[in-house]
Amino acid sequence: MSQKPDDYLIDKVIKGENNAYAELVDRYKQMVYTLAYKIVKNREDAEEVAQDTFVKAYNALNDFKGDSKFSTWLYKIAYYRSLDYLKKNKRRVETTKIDISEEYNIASLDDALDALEAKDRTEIIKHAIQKLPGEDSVLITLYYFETLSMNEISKVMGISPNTIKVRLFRGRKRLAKILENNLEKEIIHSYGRK
Amino acid sequence: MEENKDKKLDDFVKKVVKNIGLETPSDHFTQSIMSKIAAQKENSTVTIYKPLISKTGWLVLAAITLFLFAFIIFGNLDLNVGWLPSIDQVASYKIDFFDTLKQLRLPNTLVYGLMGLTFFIYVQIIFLKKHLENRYATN
Repeated sequence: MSQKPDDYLIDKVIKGENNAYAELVDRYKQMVYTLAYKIVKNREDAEEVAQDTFVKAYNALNDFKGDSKFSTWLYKIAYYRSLDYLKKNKRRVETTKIDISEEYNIASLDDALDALEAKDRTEIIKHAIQKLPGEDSVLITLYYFETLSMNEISKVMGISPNTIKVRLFRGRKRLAKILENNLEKEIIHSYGRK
Repeated sequence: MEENKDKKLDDFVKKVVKNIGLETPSDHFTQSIMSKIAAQKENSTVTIYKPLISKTGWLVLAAITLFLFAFIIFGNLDLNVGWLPSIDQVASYKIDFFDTLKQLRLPNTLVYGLMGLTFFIYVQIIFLKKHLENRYATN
């Protein structure tokens, strides 16, 4: 399937062709849904927030100036919608309080993960990321998965590139620690079964 | 040493995050967004703002008013209606009334107070209007 550029589709939507918007939704729904899920940490709520995001983006499409990428603009809406959702529902999301000064060993962590079956591995990693505070989790996804630049992330989350650097540093340490803890539990658990 | 370790961790997290990929929303995700957008369009045509008195309405009203004034001023109207009190009688009442008003003296404090009150009532109208409008605003 040939990928039409975002701008082309946006022009079409503004001219009244709604089908073009469906194409845009399909292109970004996974990322938007993932971002929402990282923050609200619940599938149903994330679905609602993600849908909201796309409806809001559709209504505001005329205001989209194109001085940033469409994706960045969309992620920003998603990010703020998710935070709003939490605030509105006064929900506190349970996240772990890991002391990042704790030591961890990447080499053994990597080995332990490799030893697991693919399905278990994905499950454990997902679980660990889910335990991170929402903002760290969003940051890690945007940086490592979407490979956005610091400047783009700064536009999405409204924090300075320097802060992002510091938070990324802490976030990945925290992630390593959570993974290590979870893996230990998993290993003990699987020994128990044998 | 510490930097090297962080670099390793950086690579590790990159690998891990790429590995798990993204979450997938439900199958009817796109469809329900499109139907929400469609519903929203229908809604907005139903509740579209329509003034009580249309532009043509105002034009007709203005024309009628102008015509009446023109008729009173330029029209050949006989105002000598027998049963109306003569102009002098009406005028004398009026003059009496205004004379008594002139003698009325209010303390300055009361005048300032009343002026302040009037001012704030007008200010309040603006805020109340905004407040009431916001009550119906969606989102």
